[in-house]
Amino acid sequence: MNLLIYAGPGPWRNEALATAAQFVGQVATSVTLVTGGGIRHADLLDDAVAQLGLPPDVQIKRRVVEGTPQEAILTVAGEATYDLVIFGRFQRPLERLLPLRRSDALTRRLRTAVLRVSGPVRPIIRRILLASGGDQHTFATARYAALMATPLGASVTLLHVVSQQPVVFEALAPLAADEATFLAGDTPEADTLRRAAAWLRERGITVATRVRFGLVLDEILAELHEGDYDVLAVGTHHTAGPLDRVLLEDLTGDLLDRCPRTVLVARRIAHD
Amino acid sequence: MNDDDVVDVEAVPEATGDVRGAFLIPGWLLRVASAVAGLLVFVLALDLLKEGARDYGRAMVTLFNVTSPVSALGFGWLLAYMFLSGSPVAAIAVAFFAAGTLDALQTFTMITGSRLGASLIVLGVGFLYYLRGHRRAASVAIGVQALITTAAIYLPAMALGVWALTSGLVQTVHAEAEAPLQSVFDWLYEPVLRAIDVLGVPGWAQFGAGVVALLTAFVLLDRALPQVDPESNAFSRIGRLVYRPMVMFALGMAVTSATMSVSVSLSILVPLSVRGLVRRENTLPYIMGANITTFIDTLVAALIVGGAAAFTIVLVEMVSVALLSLMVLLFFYQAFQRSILRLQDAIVRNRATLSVFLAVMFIVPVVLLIF
Repeated sequence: MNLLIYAGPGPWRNEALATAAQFVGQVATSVTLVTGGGIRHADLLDDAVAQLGLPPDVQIKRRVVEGTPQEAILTVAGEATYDLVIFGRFQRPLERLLPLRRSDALTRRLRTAVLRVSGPVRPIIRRILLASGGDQHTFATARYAALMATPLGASVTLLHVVSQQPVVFEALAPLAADEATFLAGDTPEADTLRRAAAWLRERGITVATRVRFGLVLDEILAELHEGDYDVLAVGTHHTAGPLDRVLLEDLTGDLLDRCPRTVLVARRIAHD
Repeated sequence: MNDDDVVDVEAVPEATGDVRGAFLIPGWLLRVASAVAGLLVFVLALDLLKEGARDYGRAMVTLFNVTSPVSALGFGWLLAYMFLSGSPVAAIAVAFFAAGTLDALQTFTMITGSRLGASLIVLGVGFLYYLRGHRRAASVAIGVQALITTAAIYLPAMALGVWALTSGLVQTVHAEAEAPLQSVFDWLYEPVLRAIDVLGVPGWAQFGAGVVALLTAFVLLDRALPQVDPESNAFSRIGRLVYRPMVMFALGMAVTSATMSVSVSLSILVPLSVRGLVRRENTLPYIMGANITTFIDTLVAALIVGGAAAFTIVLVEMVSVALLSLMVLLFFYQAFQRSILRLQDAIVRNRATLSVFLAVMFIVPVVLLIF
């Protein structure tokens, strides 16, 4: 894997490097370390190399760019193809209260998968929560989750939130009232969960499946909290065109805003 | 048209091309004829209500002890239950105002009451229709959601509207019973009304005829409504994907502008969703939008029967609801959504909680009448 890691100054820099250090050495073939703010921060890249403890066979590149951290990441990400970009959350806690400061702005502009680190460092990533919309994009997210879970020996929990309700008495598809019924059912979402779970198990990953009922955002965050997961894996905001961007809610963006823990945002892989 | 009472949303198959061809009447002509007839009957109904309200309305208001804005709220609420609809009650409220039976504030709260009552009708009559085999009536869950969303927005909006009307921010004039009718259709109906006077038809009979004419007008106008294309691509994933609240709010407003009924608007969501299921995130702002444009027919009624003053009252109601809805959407939407949906879940948890809720909904307007 070709990874890009932001190692310059930032509120969650050390947490990002500590999280990356847990698995980067086992999955990376090449790592590019980048900092913004110009040459005065160059020494931070050497510090990052020391913190990551990369094996000698991993190629390391250092890039110092003028400008903000976000500009630095976008500049370097545009120069080559990366499989994953890792950085710490740039939004400070109080900035989250400002309605116009969305923390997903950088993730949206990147074309690659992103690991946005936030919250206190988890010494070992053991539990990954994969939020599935029950569609085919689940498999792209599962692939990225597997990339992290395999070297770390972490488990993956597939979560689907049912927020639908029948508008009329005679709904065409009866709504399952509990988790077991839903998982055993023949809905496309249940089928996707079963197949994604089987795919992950084939790769030796311990998998669990959960279904919750309620509002999507609230239920994902509730499960994350109740299950004490280390990482939340989600797909990117899927829009088929400009109209979709206007019409559809960006749940990934909302999760990046509200999730207090590390978030893995998967991109759909072209050859999938 | 217009009511959240039209809960039986089973699609009535349109006349086929062959049948139309046999009578040589194109569908659009039937729609136009229905619209014109509906409008004429609607105006006649309002005139009859106004004439009847001069005598019978006052007796009714005295009987129900409607002496304050609070009791008018309960009166509108209960009347909506009796009519199984909100729109005729709102029209009656403006007719009462035009006849001088109610003052501006009482009219305002009576219209609010009519909307609250109409919301329960979505639930109650929906369930009755369901029991009678009409399985595509509004579900209990969506009915409860419509009711509590309406209450959560309309009650604070009512406070805002009352303040606007009493603070002098918005000027209304008190219409006198003797004031001339404002309707541009007067020349058409004056002979009819004069004949009723000559015959000495009592006020209660005029009022009753007005109610019947109003309901007939709604049926005629229903037939003239444009068809909403259920195959619309933009909203075809309404059951699977979460749309922006503002988008669903605008959709609710737009659809209800055409259908003029919240429950019919809700039913239009069904063909848009392949499996008849719609995300909770999508329905709430949709109902909020629908709750604003459902006033359009009342606005028209107010303009015809009550003139500028009645129009202003309904407009204040509409603007208050719109302002409150926009404030919620822009600043408190997450908390509002969570609260409404939690309450909805608590109410529909079992038969006991639903029964208690329904009982409260019947008792509250009766209690309001006391004040």
